[in-house]
Order: sequence, then structure tokens, then C-alpha cells
Amino acid sequence: MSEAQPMRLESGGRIDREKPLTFTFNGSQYGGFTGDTLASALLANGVRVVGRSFKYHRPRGVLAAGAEECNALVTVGQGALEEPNIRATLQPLYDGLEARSQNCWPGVNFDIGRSLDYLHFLWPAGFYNKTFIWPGWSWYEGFIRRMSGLGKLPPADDPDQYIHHNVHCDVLIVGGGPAGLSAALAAGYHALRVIVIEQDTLLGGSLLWSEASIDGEQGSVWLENTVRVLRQRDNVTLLTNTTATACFDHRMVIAGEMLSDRRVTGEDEGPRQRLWKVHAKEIVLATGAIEQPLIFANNDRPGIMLASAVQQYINRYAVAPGMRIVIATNNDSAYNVAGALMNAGVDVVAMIDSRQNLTGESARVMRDHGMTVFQNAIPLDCRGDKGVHSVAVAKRDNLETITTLQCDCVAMAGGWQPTVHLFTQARGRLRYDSSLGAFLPDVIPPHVHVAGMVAGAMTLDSALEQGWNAGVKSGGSQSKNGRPQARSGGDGALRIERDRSEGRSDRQWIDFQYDVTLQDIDIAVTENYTSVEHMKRYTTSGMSIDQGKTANVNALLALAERTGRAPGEVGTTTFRPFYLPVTLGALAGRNRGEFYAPVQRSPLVGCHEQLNAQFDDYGTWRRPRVYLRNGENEQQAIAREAVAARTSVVLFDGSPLGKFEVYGPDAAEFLNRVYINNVTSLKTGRARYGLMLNENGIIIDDGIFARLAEDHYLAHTTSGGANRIHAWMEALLQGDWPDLDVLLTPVTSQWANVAVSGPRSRDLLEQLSIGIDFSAKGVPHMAIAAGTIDNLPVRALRASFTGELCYELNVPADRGAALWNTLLQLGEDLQVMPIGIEALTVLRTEKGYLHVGSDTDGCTTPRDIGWGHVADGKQGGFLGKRSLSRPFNVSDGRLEFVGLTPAQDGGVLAAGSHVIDAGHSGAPAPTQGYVTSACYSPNLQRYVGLGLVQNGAKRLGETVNMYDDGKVNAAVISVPAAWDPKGERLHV
Amino acid sequence: MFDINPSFALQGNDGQSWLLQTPRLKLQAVDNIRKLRLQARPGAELNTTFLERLSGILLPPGPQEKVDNELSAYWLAPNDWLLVKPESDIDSINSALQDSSNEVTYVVTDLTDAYSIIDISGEDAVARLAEGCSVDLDGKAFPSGRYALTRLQHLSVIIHRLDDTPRFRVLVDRSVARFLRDWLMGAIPGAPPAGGLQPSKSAPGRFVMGAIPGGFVVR
Repeated sequence: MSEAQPMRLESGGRIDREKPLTFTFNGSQYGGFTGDTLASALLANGVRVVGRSFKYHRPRGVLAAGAEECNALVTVGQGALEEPNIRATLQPLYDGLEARSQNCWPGVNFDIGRSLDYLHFLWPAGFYNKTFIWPGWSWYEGFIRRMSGLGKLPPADDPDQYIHHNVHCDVLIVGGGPAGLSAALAAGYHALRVIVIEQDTLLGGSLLWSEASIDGEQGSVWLENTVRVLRQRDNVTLLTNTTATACFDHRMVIAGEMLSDRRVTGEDEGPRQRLWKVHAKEIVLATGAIEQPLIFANNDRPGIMLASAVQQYINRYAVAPGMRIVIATNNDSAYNVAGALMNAGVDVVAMIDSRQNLTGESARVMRDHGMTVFQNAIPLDCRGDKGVHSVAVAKRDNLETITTLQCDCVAMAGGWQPTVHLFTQARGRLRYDSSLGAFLPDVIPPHVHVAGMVAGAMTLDSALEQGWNAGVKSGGSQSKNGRPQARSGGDGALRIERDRSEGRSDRQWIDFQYDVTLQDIDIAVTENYTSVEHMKRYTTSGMSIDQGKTANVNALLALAERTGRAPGEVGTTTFRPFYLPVTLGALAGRNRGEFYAPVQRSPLVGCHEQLNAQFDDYGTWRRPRVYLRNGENEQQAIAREAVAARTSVVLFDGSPLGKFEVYGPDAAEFLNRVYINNVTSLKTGRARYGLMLNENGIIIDDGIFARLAEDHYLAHTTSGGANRIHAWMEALLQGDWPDLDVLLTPVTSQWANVAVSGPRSRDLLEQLSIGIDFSAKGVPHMAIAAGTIDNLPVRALRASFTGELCYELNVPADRGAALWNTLLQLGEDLQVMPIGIEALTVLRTEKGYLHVGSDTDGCTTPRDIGWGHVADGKQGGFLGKRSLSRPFNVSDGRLEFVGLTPAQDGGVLAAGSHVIDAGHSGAPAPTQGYVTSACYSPNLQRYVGLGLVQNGAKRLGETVNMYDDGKVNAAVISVPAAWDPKGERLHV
Repeated sequence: MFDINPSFALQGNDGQSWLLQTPRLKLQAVDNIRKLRLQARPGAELNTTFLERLSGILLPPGPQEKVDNELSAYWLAPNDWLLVKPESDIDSINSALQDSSNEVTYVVTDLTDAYSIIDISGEDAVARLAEGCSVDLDGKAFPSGRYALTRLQHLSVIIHRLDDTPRFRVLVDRSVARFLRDWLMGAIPGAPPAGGLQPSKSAPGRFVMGAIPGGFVVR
């Protein structure tokens, strides 16, 4: 033993003693070696208390050596790099690692929260359902919230990078232990694409820490050779440090790979983790098994560990978890541990075997070596608050104490539960095997294979054989030649004998992490929560961060025992993803920040950038909000743009406007069915504003449609509605009206759209010579004309969303920038300027033009916005027509679209304000609608607003109050158009 | 009154030609290629001879077919193809249509400017695409000439393997081309070569992006 690391063995282990490391735990500095985990290094330094339990704050030490660890959860790192709930058993040690305990105050060795343990009889399972009724939950909630939770979120954004990677393979092998490697050998012989995923930093599984002989060689030699062979094959990919954590439909397996860690190197060396999305034709699950704890009083004390973990710490890390170790078991596997301890020179005080008859070879060998074996005996209780120091041994039959053994470690071997998480996620079914005391794969789904301990193979040779066979079935070698064979040690059979738990049930832990005891199961049964799902939720057993990897089987068996059912009858809860928690950053990958969601940009985006546009996201489009000029603030710029549109000429980029061509002999008939307007009467070269309804008569979109030819229309939608409306129309054509001879082609991105608006817009456009007469007669309001630029088509649609004379010029998108720049150049004398969305919003609000989605809600019909006459006057049917006459849609009190004008000079209107009766001066008051759009109008020098108000159209001139977050403003209900209500400016 | 600057036709998206090149990855906007959408009514029996004369290309009957690299037709939906033809002229297609006696409703729409084309090549090309695309892009499963209508970083795209450099052609709606380009080139500094995704620190990426002056010239 080394003085610096008192529990480190002098030799052995897969650690590099030439590369010492230092780390801190709870502020104290310790040493370790490359190849250690944080857990092994802590044990090597004699650190016994690592964390505190969730509910009772009991001191806890390291329980396991792998993913099943549920006690040694620590926080690693500082600041933004801080990460809570790291399993010390999975955290590779590195120089400078900083770790600290969590869920304790002021420290892990003295925790005030421990008082909860002394009063544990007050908080059994379900206590909060009964306790916090009076005076009310809210009275307790703040306190409970502060108490709950494990670990804390880092204080800053995660600075690390994460990436995703899709990969396809013929065979995916999950687990790089003996069975998985055997499968890889078989599958890899052919040209199949094989991927092996191993959670550990090293391949080998149990070969890394147990004695074995394969093909006449030592297990470690065979392992080295096998890994070399597999690495030489181009078709085999070996991924270590990678955890397959979920299996989804079509055999897509999610796996997280640790790539680099700036915590280790101190530098940002690229992505920290890669999330693999593996699409596999065949999956071989060689996921092994997890040893289960034994249940006895105070079985959670630091120093009480899984027997296999003790063996791993001895053989792999050269660390003795204790100097005087008692082994308690109900099966043969613990005898291998005893052998390993003896070989390492660690004192095995005794073995406590609960079985009545010990016929196995292993037990005989142990006795021949002079070891004390208590047969038909169980551990009854343990003592030692911050580290076990004695265990009472009792006869199994009558619980009479035989003796008390002094020890500093108890290795418990309660049998093995196959790691069936991915198997059940792949839709595999389980059965309970009474001889193994575990749930094993039963019904295996197609293209999934199981091998090794997960399939119940409890000897090395059977694991190798199953692995090989799984590789063969996956399409690999058909030959038995090459199948690795092992000389089995011991007698192989586990012969587990599950025992009835005795003693104080309130101190026997089932779920270590969430502090669920045997008594909690009893209470659940007493209160009739006998379904396994109910028991789980009532007691919280298995709901912890480790998802009950060491708790579920014992909880199920206890439930079965107490309800007089067979374990198979009780069944299991669902093994949901993820097997191990996945860093949120890894799930997000690069889908955050700028790449959180796709951003659409206009073909004119470069022009806007040059004009100092301030961009904002409107739906999926990133568009200019406003163009700032020297010294202006945004309000001033918006006002400048809005005034220019009414006095001179402005340019607006309307490219995002949804556009699609409608072709075919039945195009008119089709559009006639989807618009409430009469489409068939529209003459070629003319355009019309149209509304589209769904089957319930609700407005879903609007836009201008134009007839380009007898059988050819151009239809516009809102910018955000382009894809939705196109899909809807395609669904109608393909599903409802397949008889219509119509073809739809979305062309939104094909055309750049520049709206030239304002009283001087004609003056500007007349400088162009593109074959279009822009005069009032040449292109009247709501008409479309075609021209050409350099043999390319130009479309000029005269329609307006500003209330001014306006032409929308459409050119192929690549020419958009040229057109825009040319118009700016030509219009210099007219002081032409671009306007952004905010100015357009001001203009359309002044003019009373509604914006579907802002000024309509999920109940608005054409009648509600004053378009009832259009719908009523149309001959023939259209979508939603029938619903318009439903009682609710014609009932009194409908929200109707109106304008709102401040009642006093200087009055304010705010979007979202509720309309209340003038008799009310504040809340509470019944709402009569709300303001849908409102802004200050620089052209009218006052606020303008639009709203949906009950019976609004009949209440013109009425004064109402607007309630806005505690303030009340009076407004007069008016017609929507505050600017040019007669529309005279459009027809010039 | 107008003259089109000759360089104008060489412009890529957003009025810019661009090229990104690292030792392991090359991204380039491809222009000067016509994209025509040919649609006929679903279920219509289209005559192969008619179609061949129409497009000069054998139209693939379904998705993920192997196509010619230079004269490509991508299947979008039943009786719906995207023709990608360099130096082609929609007028000749229209002439073929006029000559046809076929009475099926069909239409050819010029979508040249609606799609952007990005060619991606180099050692990291597969890995970069595989980050956001679940199609099996391995050379054996997706050999040269194969294409797929699929999703790449949540976007609808056509991915076409041009050769085994490997070089892929990605067609995407022009409104999201800049997003896709930025995502494709979004270098994560110092990614380890083993990751196979990023340029090494010693050979930083060279990004060339220059606007070509263009526009209508007023005489």
C-alpha cells in the first residue's frame, strides 16, 4: 500500500503508474493515476463518504463501478463548465479535476439535512399526499422546492460544442465485452459494415477485471489480439467511450460519444460529444448484466458495495475498497470475488451465503483454503455511520444472531439482472427466470439478437458462443471455425436463492438514490398500490436518476412477495429512454443559436444589409424591420418611412409573399371552390383580393389572385402561409377533388418582389422601359401586366397594402437585387427610400387593412370582418360556406373587425388592450373584445388601432374603454380605415 | 434602356458567388444551370417517347434513382420532375410541348432562380452531410449518380452524388440556401481530425466570398 494513496495496491491494475494525476474533491487535494475513474481514485485515497442520499441525506459511499452507480453522484467543474450528477464511477480521472459532493450542507461529512433521517418515521412513502393538505400545498411548496432536486444547473450557458452524426451499418453490436467481441469477429468476417459500441474507455467488459482463459490464452491476451484484428478490418468500426442509450423504431440507436473535454486539456479542442444516430439492419445486444444488492438493515452504509464492483476495483484499478472484507451472497458469482481478493492479499473475513446447500465447486475450494463460510445465513444489520465497521450475521431460518463480524467493507452479491433496457425499447418481451432470479429476454423482435449475460449466459464460454451465433445470424460468417472458446471457471450455474427480507423494514434500502425502503413497499401494498406502475409512482422506487438499475428487481420481488404473486405476474415497469442521461447540449447538437431553426432570406438580403437594415424574424423569414439612417432612433426611422410612403415613393421587399401558379382547364373551378370570392368572373389580366376559409368557415389566409390566362392563375398567400396553403391545396386536389384537372407549382422563391408604393411611384416606374404601360389606363388598380427585361419575364401587379398607388414588380430572383438598385438609382430625385415591416404595419393599420392572424383569431368569419356580402352573394359553393350559417357563426355578440380612435387628443392605444364598457374604469370588467393592432400614426398625428369588438359593426361612434395593464384609455369605435376611407388614393 | 452586366449571370445567391475551401472540404455555389419543373396530372399515363423528346432526359420513375450527372432529372412526386440542364433553354422544351399531340395536362415551370445548388466535396463531405441527413451516404449504398429527395438540417433538399471524390450536389430552396451554406461551413474550431468533420488548426479554412458588381445600367 502507498502512503499517499493508502488503499492502492502495490501492483496490478490497468492504470499507468508512470502518469500520476492530482485532483480535488470537496476542496481537498488527492492523487491518482491515468486510467483511474474518480471513484477508484477516491477509494484509493480512503475517501468513504462521497455523497448524501436524496431524501434522508444519509452518508453514502461508492456502491458500484459502472453505469449503475446511484450513490456517488458528484458535481464536476466550475462555472459554465460545471456539470451536476456525474457518476464518479464513469468519470475518467484527469489532472486538475475538481469535484464536489452535492445535496448536502454545509458539507458531505456533516449535513444538516441528516436531521430528516432521524425523523424518518415522519416521511414514509406518500407522506406528502397526506401531510400537506392543511392549510394548503402552496404554504409548503417553497420549502419543498428548495429541498428537492439533485445537483444544480450551471450558472452560465454551456460553452461546449456538440455534433450529431447519422451512420448506417449492417450490424450494430452494443457492448464490447466477450459476447460483443465474439459477435464482431463473426459479423466482421464478411464485408458487412459492423459498428461496435462500448460505454467504457476500453473494450473487453468483464475481461478487464476477471480471470479467464480463451482459446488457450489468458483473457487479456485474447482481448488484445481480438481488438487488433478488429481494428485492422476496414468494415468494422470500434467506438469506445460511447454509450448506446436509446433504441427507437426501425432500429435507430442513439449513442453518445465523448470526444474531447476542455476540462481535461484546458483548451477548446472541438466538439465535446458526438451524438450518433445509428441506423442498423441488425442489432446484437451484448449489454451484459447489472449485479443487484442484497436487502438487509442499513445496507446503504458507505463501504457496502456490489461484489463485482469490489472485484473490479481490485483487479482493474488496483484499489482495495477495504482491508477486511465480508462477502454476502445468494449465488456462486461471489466466490470469484473471494478468489480475486485472496489473490490480491486482501483479508476476506468471511462469506455469508444464504443458501441452504452449497454444492458448488467454488464453495468447496474456499473452504479448503480456510475461509469461513456461513451457510444458510444472512447479514442482519450493519453498523458504522460514515463507514461500515461491523456486520451482524444471523441464521436464515430464525434470524438468531450467529456472530458479529468486524469489517470495513461488505461485498454483496444479490444476483444479476440483464441490462435489457435497449432490448425492451426495441419491443422485446421479458420473462422472469426463477433460477436466475431475473427478467430475461423472451420474445426477441426481428433483426435483434441478444448474447452474453443479457441473454442469461452466466459462463464465459456460453457468452462467447452466443455472441458468435448472433454475429452469424446477423449475416456474418456461417462457419463455426474461429468461434472463440473459453475454459469455464467454476461450475457456471448461479443457483441463486432469493431470500425473504427480514428485520427492520424501514432501514432496509431498496432504492438507494431516492431513499425507498422495504417499508415503503409495504405501505404501498397496504394502501392497495399493488400494480407495479402504481407502486413505482407511490414510492418513487426506480424514478431516480439511475432509473432503478439496482432497485427495480428488488422492488418487484418485494412487491411480489408481499402480494403473494409470482414475480413474472407482477411484471416490470417500462424501460424508457434514456439508459443513461444524455447531456442536453448533445441532444441539441448544432441546432442552437443561429442554427436553431432554418431562416429564410429574401433574394434582396444583400441590398438590405447595405442599407443598414435592422433585421427581425417574422415567422421563418428574416426581414428588414426598419432602415436606420444617421442619428435616427427606430421610432424616428419608422415615422420617416411611413410618411414617405404617403408623400413620395418607397420600395418594399415583398419577396417572401407566398406565390404559386395554378394551371389547368379546371384552375378557375378549383380556385372558385377555395376562395369565397367569385373567381370565374375574373378577366384575364385582372386581380382580386380573396379570402380562404377552412371547413368551419374560419378565415385561414388571404391574398391576391390574378388571372394570367384562361387556364392559368397566380395566387398569393401571406408570407407565413405559403407552405401551409400549398399543402392544403394539394391535399384538396389529391384527396377531395381528384377529378379536377389542375396543377399547382409553388414559385415563392423564383420571384423577387419589389413593391413600389406612394403617390410618386408611377413617376418612378415610367422611367423604366420594360414593355409595361404604368399609366392608370395601362395598369389599373387590381390589374397585372407582363413585360420583359433581357428576355426574362417581368410581372407588374397593381395592388396595395399601403393604401397608396402601388405596383408590385416581380422579376426572377437573381435579378431582384439589380432591379432594387436600379429603382433606388432612378428614384434619387424623388427621394425614394426603402421601408421595413414596421412602417408597412403602420401604413396598413392606418388604412385599416387586416392581417390574418393578427386581426383575426381562430373564430373569425368573413362576416366578422365585413365581408359577409361577398360570401353571401357568391353563386355556387366554396369551402366553409355551409358553416357560415351555423348558429354560432351568426349569433349576437360576435367579435367584429373595427377601427378604434382615441377619444381624446393625445390618447394612446395599445395592442392587446381589452375593450370594456365605458361604465367600467378598470378590472374586473367583462371583456368585449380586444385591440388587435395599434400604433402611432405619423401621417394622422395620433394613435390608430384595429380591433375585434363584440357587435362592433353596429356600434360605430360608441365610446368604450380600453384596459391595458392597469391603465384605461377611452376610444371611439370607427370604421377600420382611418386613412383615405373612400379609397380615392388607390384609383389614380 | 437596360443592359445586363455580363457578369450578372455568374452571380450566385443573394448576388454573391462564393467558395469555401479547406484541406478536407470544399463548398461552392453552382450557377448557370437551368432548373425546370415538369409536372403532369397524377395518374396520367405519360408516354416515354414524349417525355424524352420533351426533356432530352430519361425521367426516373421514382425517388432515389441513379441519374446522369450532366443532364439530370430528379423525381419529386408521381409525374413530377425537376429537370436540371446546363445551357438549356426553356423555349426548346416549350417547342417540344407544342409539337406534342399528347393530351395530358402538363406544365413546365422555370424554377431556375427558386433553387440554389451547392456542391460539396472533399474528405469530410460525407461526415458533414451526415450530421444533418439520415440517408445512407456511404459509397456502396449511395454510389455515384444516385440522388435522394430528403431532409438536410430540417430542410427539404435533393442530394446527388456526382462522383467518388466524393462530390455531392445539394439543391435547396434559395431562401434557405444561405442558412444551409452557413450551417455546412459552420466550422467548429479545432475539431480533432478523428472527428472527420473539421479543418485542422494548422490549416484554417479559406473562405472566399465576394460580391460581383452587377445591376441594370441606365443608358
